[in-house]
Formats: sequence, C-alpha cells, structure tokens
Amino acid sequence: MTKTKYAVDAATRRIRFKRKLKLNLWCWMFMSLAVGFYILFQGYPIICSIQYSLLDWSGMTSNATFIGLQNYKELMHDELFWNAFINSFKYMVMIVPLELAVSLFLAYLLNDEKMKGRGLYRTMYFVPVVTTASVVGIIMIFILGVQGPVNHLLVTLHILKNPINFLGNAKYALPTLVIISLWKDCGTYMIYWLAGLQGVSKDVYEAATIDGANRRQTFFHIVLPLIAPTGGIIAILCAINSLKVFDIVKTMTEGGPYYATDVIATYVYRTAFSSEIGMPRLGYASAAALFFGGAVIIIGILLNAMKDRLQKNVQ
Amino acid sequence: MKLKRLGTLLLTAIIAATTLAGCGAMPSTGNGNETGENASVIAATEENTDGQITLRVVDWSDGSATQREEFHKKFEEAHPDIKIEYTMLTVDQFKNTIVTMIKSGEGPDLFPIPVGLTLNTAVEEGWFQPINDYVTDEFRNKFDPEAFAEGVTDIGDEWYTVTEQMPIIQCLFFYNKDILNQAGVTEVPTTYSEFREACKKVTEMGNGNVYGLIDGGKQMNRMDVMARSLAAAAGGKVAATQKVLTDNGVAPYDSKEMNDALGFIKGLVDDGSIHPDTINISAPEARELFAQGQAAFLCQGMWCVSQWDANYPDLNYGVMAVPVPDGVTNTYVQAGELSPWMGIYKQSKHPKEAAEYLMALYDEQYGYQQSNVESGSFVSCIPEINEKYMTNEHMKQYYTIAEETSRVVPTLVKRDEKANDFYAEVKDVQPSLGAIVQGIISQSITDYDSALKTLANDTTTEWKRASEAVGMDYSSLEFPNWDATKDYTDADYETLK
Repeated sequence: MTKTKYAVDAATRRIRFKRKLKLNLWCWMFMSLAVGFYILFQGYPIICSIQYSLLDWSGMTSNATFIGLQNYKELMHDELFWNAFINSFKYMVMIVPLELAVSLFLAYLLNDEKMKGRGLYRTMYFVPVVTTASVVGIIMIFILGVQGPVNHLLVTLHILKNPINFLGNAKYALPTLVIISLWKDCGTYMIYWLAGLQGVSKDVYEAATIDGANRRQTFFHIVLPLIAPTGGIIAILCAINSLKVFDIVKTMTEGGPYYATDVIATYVYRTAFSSEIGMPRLGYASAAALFFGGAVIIIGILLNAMKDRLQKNVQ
Repeated sequence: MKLKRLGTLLLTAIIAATTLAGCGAMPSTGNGNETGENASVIAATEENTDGQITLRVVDWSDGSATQREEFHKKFEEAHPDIKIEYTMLTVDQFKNTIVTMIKSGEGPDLFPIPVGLTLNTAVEEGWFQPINDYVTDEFRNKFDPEAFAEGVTDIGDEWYTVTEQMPIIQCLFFYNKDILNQAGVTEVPTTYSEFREACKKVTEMGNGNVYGLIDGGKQMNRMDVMARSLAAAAGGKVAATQKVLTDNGVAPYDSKEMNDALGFIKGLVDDGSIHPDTINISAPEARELFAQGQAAFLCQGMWCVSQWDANYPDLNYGVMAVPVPDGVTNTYVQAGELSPWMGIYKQSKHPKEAAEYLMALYDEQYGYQQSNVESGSFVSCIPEINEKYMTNEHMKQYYTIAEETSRVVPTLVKRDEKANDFYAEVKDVQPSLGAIVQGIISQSITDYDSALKTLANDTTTEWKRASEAVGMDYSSLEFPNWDATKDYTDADYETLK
C-alpha cells in the first residue's frame, strides 16, 4: 500500500515537473527574442563600456592604455560632469510629474465613450510622438525665437513687454525644453494611461454613478486607485526616458547656453565624439555614462527603501 | 519573500540604469588592438555580375554638394564600369562612423581624415595607402606647390592625401550695404569703436527687427574662431583654431589681446547689438538670417558667397577685415592652414579606380574645380583653374582681404616630429574659449577675465603634461623668432634648429 502511494506520488511529481518544465520552456521561448536583442544591443555595449571606462582611449586609434579607475577619479572633480548630472535630474524632476498629470488628464478625457471624434483627438495628440525630434527641434527654435510667433503673440497680447529669449537665456532654456518634450512625448504616456483606464470595468463606473459620484469623485476615489499600479510603471518609464533625454537637447540647444541645458547624454556625446584640440575621449565618456547609470541604481534603491520605511510608519 | 522582492527590485533598477549607461557605449570598435589590416579579410568585394564596380566615397563636404552631384554624373558617364556610392555626413557623424567602418573592414574606398586626427596617426593605424603608384606625375604637377606639406599630404616620399582647397582664413566680416545705408553708416568700420557705433546705429534703426551682428553662437567652434581672429587682429600671438602654440611659455588665453577681443564682444552684448537669436542658432542659420536682412554684420568664411549667390542673388553685401582695437595698426589674423582631405583606404579593392576618381576631381574636363571656384565655394589647389575661373566679385574681395590681412603662423607639426603624438595625447580643456564666448553672449558669464585666466592655467598644465607624456620638449610650443606681422617661413624653422 505504502509502496503504491510512493509510486503514485513520484509519478504525480514527475507529471507536475514536466508540466512546469513545458510551461517554463514556452516562457523562455517567447522571451528568447527579447533577451537575445537585449544581450546584443544593450548587454554587449554595456560590457564594452565597462572595458572602455578603464582605458585612456580616444576611440579613433588603437592606442589605448589601461588606466584603471583614473577616469572615474577625474570625473569626481569635473565640474561640467556634475553640472550635466544635476541638469539631468532637474529635467527629470520637472518633466515626470507634468508628463504623468497631463497625459493622464488627456487619457481620461479621451476614454469617454460618449465623446465624439475621440479617435481623431487621440491621433492628434499622438502625432508629435511620431515626428522626428530633430525636425521638432529645428522648427521650435524658430517658433520660440525672439522674433518668432510665440513672442510675437505674447507681446501683441501685452502679456510681455519685451520678447523672451526662451532658449538663449540660461534661466528659461531648461524649462522650455521640458515644455517641448512634454508636448512631444505626451501622446506615448496618454496611450499607456488609456490602456490602464480601459482595464477598469464599466461596472465600476456604473456603480459609482448609481452611488451619486460625479466624474471628478469617480476619478479620484475609484479610478485613480485602480490604475495606480499602471501609473507606477508609467512613472518608471517616464523617469528612465527623461534621464536619457538627448535628441531634443542636442538639436535645440546643444547643451547651451553655456552648459545650462547640458544633460548627461549630451555631455557623454560631446566627450566621446568631439574635441576642439586633440582627440575625443571615449574611455572617459564611458566612465561618465557608467557612473551615472550606477548613481541611478543607488538613488533608486535608496528612494525605494525610504518609501518602504514611510509606508511602515504610516501603517 | 523579502529577498525575492529585493532581488526583483535590484534587477529592475540594474536593467533601467544599465539601459542609461548603455547610451554611452558606441557600437563595438574592438579592444583597440585590431588594425584595419586584420579586418581586411572580411571586406566585401563590390563588383556586380556585369563587371561594374562600386566605388564608395564618404565625406562631409556639404558646401559643394551640388557640384559634387554634377561631378558624379559626369564621372559615371565617362566611366560606365564604375558606379559611385557617395555618402555625405556631418563632421560628427563622420567621426562616429568611419572608425566602425574601418574596424569592420568596410571602410569606403575614399574618405577624408577626421578632424582632430593627424595624417601620421591615420597612416600608422593602417587607414590610408600611398597614392603615388596610382596617379600620374602630371597630376601632382598641376597642384600649387603650397598644396603639399609634410604630415598633411605627404609622409617622406609617400603621397597620401589631396587637399580639397587652398587654405584661406575662415573668419572675415560680411556687411549688408543696404542696412548700413539705412542706418546712416557711411564708412565701413575698421576699429572696435567704429564697429560698435555702427552696430548701435543699426540696432536703434532696426527697432527689434534688425541688429548689428549675428552669428552661429550655438557652435562653440565658430565662437572659438571669432575670438582667436579678433585676438590676433588685436596683435596677439594666437594659434589657429584646433592648434597649439605658447606665448612666453603659457597658453595665450589670458593675454591682453584676448581680453580686448572678449571685451569687444561683451561691449556688443551690453549695447544690445548682437541679434538675440545668435545664441540659439548654428552658422548656416545665421547665414540665412543675415541674408534675410536681420543683421548688418556676420562673421564667417568664404563658403557663404556661393550660398548667397545661389539663394539670395539680390543681397547687397561686402566683405571687410576683422576690426582692431582703436589705435592698433599693422596687425594680422592667422592665415588658413593646409589640412588633409581625401585619401585611398588601405584595404580598398579598387585603388586604381579610386585614384581615377581623385584625378577627375581636379580635372578641368569634369568641371568640379571650376564650378566651385566660379560659384565662390573655395579657392582651388590648381592655380590655372583660379586664374581662369575666379570671376565672382565677392569671392575676389574676400580673397584679396584675406591675403592682405593674414600672415602664416608657425605650426608645431612642421617643427617637431613628436607633434603628432602630442596632438593624439592632449585633451580638451573645458570650458573652452568658444564656450566662454558663448557664455558672454548668453550673459551667463560676466567675469570673463577670471574664466580666461582659469582656461590659460589649466591649458598650460595640460599641454605640459601631454608634452611630457609623449617625450616632447614643452619649449617646442614656443616660437621665439615669430613676428606676427610677417609670414613664418621655412627659414624661420631652420633658425630654430
């Protein structure tokens, strides 16, 4: 009897193991393409970056010298690196809340089935996303120029006495870039929010309506808590993308005026690929990119730990 | 459970952050120990089944793009067995791309040396092959003898690259005659005070629509060129852009003349005479706005002439010398320096055809040189072409002023054979001169004097370090017998030996 029981148990375990293995194999099969691409286009360059960061190398010749952590030590005293480092975070702090709020607002409006032409509006808000950043940048330079239409309108309407040099003034340049990026990327996050909103059952809205909740109350007390997990993912994506900002800064300001909009990506690009005298410094630029990446990991972990502690205290 | 959560969190953070860090990595260029020679085995042969070969040419000559297109048509007609695959990139794109192309054994048959790299280094890296065996003596003899220089076109008896054009200064001032007339400026300004006064009058007259000076302030290299030219015109001993020379043993960035030059720019900013968009735009955009009548003066090079003649034929403009401080006379700006251009890839499968292409570029029959000279794009390396076709009045004016107001400055490469190693070793010091000028124009810097002092000190330290690292005597950067009012000649180099 016992022997038979063991045999049945062993057979059951084998079947379960096989099922689990089959399931895992399927999962890995579906993931393999993405993992393969990740290794090829992210993993390998990252490993190369680690190697380059330990070299004194221009990237143009074979003359590379191993210098250990010297590039990292030099970075610690590089004021322009820290300026770019801080600017990247300033940009993130400015754009993430704005991007999340505006895109959620648009998504909520356009999620209303009763709204006529919502498909058209969704397309309209999404068009800037598919427009090339360099084209947007060049056009915006003229739109926001001192003699451009924005200044003309503001002066004509007596909102401004004198035109503002939006991109040429160190005080306004970064916020101006934030607003342009907001306009350009808002459509992407709107789509993410829409996906989250469409996951909220109609029954929930109907129940809220029956209970007498208005649209605002429904949103803040019912919908928002339900889509909060999606919001967390969107916030992470938005933060990562904002720390990677490059194209719009490169086209519109090149990091200027006088480094006021210089972010890590433009700093790394400039250091790695251009130089006024002598050769560029790919090794040093790699160290800067890796240091920034490492700093983001540490800051992320610290913030998460703080959040957990706060949550515990509240409980 | 907690560990699992922490692990997941860490993994997410690492993926996110390494995605960021990955931005810094360029496509693999190997470990830096490979040479193009090793990679040559995988170089694809570009030959069609019908025997037609494809010649790949890559450069950044956007100023003569139309002429080049026309040239390619004629070349392909005359050589039905050759198909030209021409790619034009920006300078930065070219730098990013060419190394990867060469390391992967896919280098183009013909390409120029990237800015910042010397010919010696490029040859040592196995990028180019001598062209002596593929071109005729007649071809070399056509060139102006000054179109050749050791370390630029030649190394010893080997000829590696041709120059695209005769060197000419990249910084003179263009002025809009109509705007100056409207503002009541009757004389073309020559001194700082005259220039500021003219700019003030124009700006007042313009009432927010027209300003004194415009330039491509977004491009630090243009700001660097302007500052160096102004300082040289003020009597300073300053090397040409991207070059290194010392004055009294130090990097000459905080000299009186450089301070005067930057003080002049600051004065224009304080007067409100600089077009406010200057800081937001690059050189081509500044050129367009000047042509549209938004400013009276523009500081750029000869390349503007052909662009304006083609797009703004009614633009009434002239060329003037770089202004000098009041009371200063007999000063000169740095003459243009010969720079290497196109050479044949060492692993090219078609060096003979590539040489055919090179020879055709300078052949009157194909019209490339004359169309560029006629349109005012550049001064050809072939004297005969210049004599016949330099008919553009603006170009002649630019050329004459450039010749009259510039003098050849000494170059390190010509003096010391370790100079190539020095240029490969030396690192940029930031904020650079161009960045400081940008800071003045955007009013981010008020105390430019301190910024120049810091730049001079840091640069001197870096140049000393680089000299020591490559075993070059730092004093090689100093040319004690250099008189900035005269051309620095071969005899002067001999005296130093």
